[in-house]
Amino acid sequence: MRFSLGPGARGLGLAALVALAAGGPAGAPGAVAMLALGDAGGQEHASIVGRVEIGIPVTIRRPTSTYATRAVVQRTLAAESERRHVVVYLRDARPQRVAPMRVSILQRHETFMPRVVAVTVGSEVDFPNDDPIYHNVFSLSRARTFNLGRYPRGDTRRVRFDRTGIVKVFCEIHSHMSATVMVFAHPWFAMPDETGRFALGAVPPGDHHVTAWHERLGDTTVKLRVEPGRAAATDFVLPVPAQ
Amino acid sequence: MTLVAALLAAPLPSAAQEARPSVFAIDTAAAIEQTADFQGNRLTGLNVDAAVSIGRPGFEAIVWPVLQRLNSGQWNRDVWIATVRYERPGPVGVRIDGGLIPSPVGLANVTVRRPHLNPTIALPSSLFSTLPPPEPRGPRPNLLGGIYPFGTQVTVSGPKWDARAALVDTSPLRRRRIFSRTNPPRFANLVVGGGVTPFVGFRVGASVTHGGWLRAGESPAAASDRDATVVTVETEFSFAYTRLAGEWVRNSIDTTLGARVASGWFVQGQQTLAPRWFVAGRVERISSPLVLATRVDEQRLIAAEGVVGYRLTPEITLRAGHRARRGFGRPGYDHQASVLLVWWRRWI
Repeated sequence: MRFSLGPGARGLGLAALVALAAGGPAGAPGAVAMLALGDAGGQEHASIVGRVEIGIPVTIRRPTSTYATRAVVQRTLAAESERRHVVVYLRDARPQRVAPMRVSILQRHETFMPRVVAVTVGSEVDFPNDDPIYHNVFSLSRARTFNLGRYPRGDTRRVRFDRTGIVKVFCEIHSHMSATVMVFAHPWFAMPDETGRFALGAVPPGDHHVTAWHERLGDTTVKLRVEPGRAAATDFVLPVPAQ
Repeated sequence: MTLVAALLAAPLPSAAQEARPSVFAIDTAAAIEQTADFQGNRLTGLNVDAAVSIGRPGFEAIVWPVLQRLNSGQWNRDVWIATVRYERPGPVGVRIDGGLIPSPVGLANVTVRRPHLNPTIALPSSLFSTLPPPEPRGPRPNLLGGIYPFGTQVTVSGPKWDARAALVDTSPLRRRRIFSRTNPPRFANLVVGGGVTPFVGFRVGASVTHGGWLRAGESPAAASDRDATVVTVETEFSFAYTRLAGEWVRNSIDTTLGARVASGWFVQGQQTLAPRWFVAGRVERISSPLVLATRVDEQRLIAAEGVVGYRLTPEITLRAGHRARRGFGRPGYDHQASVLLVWWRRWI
């Protein structure tokens, strides 16, 4: 994955961001959508819409319980559309001044929910614990290194992400738990809904590389020409079938 | 684009759109330890193991093979766990293990046996250090050995309590190895244990184990089989960046000279200083009876260890530490410095 951080970052004067944060115990996993509206230059923008499908079964880790704890742990892995764990973004977008977001990654049933979130630089992510056991959230990723320590049910800790990149998040106690925070310095990214549909709004006209990223299935990039005031469509099937 | 559109038009497996728990779950740990004492001796230890689980939530088969090069230079290969497990979560969770099962006794046996889970470098002495023989010319038992017995265990638990019962073929005082030719006899031992968790992060538990430990004829004086009763009390407490654990063990060992008592405890802690840095330590003490009545009626083992750890990556940890240990009957402490490199990897 490549993140552009060129020095010629232009501000989007009227850029407005709509961020739906997954909050509360019942949080809407992966409900992070962004829309950049308008441009200081008055340029007529376009949009990119499409659908993401997963072409092969995706497995997630379950606990290795060689050491059985003395209590029987309540493990229920949430059934969730894997399409919500895909991030679609403009690969060659230039850095912009973007508004920070506030999202939440819940720890429930020894699972991070949602497992993937995408945010803008400067955003804060809450990590509430909803399990009747301790968790210890940490990351050693280059884009953000942190260790939140152990905290019980009902407590939450917050992390601010000030650098672009991929931040892999783990639980020190439960090795099967992992999450990913993708941090962007531009507003052109989206996460599909349950049916796989996504939309990137207020995209500058021109040729763009659009990437769909999945933590297991990797990057799939297509080149797309976006005409002013029109919606360009592109669909993804992950992973890319062999040619 | 045409190809993608054609593929989208074709029916996709609906199951692919939802993630499924893996059938296999495999992780491995490898640790290399370099130890030096103040007499100039250098020892290298190696530990490689794998935890393999096959199944679905509910039923699984678990195998845990181990290969070790001990500090003495001796190689040891073993299978510590080979069990079939049924687990049913719920308001009252149930788990049933059968086969070569994790030890149903003690805290250290289920928390620090793998190098990436042990906050220090050494293991608690009770797991591997033998006591002086309580029987004249008899075998030397452990206070609470690191055992992986054949047997069955049933565990039930609620949100704030847990209870278990197990029937195993190995005494906690006598370690057996599946590939060893010099194993002690099998002894039926019954284990009953339980614990309470008044709030998240704090648990207090206890267990009682009773069964044979010495077969008639193993000691010249032992004309009949002898039993032992092992009582353990354990606790764990975690808060913020601190993690504490402790265990107390009391063995009542039946011998030809009457009942002898051996006891011991350890307390260990780990403090996370920064995302990559942590410190850890353990203090332990074991008191053992002497076989013959002398002015001194017990011997002690005392040990302390301090470790500084650095997490290079989520998978690799480097630790350096100092260990002071006074063994049974030793006049003073032996000091050792150790460096340990641990690589742990979750594969599937």
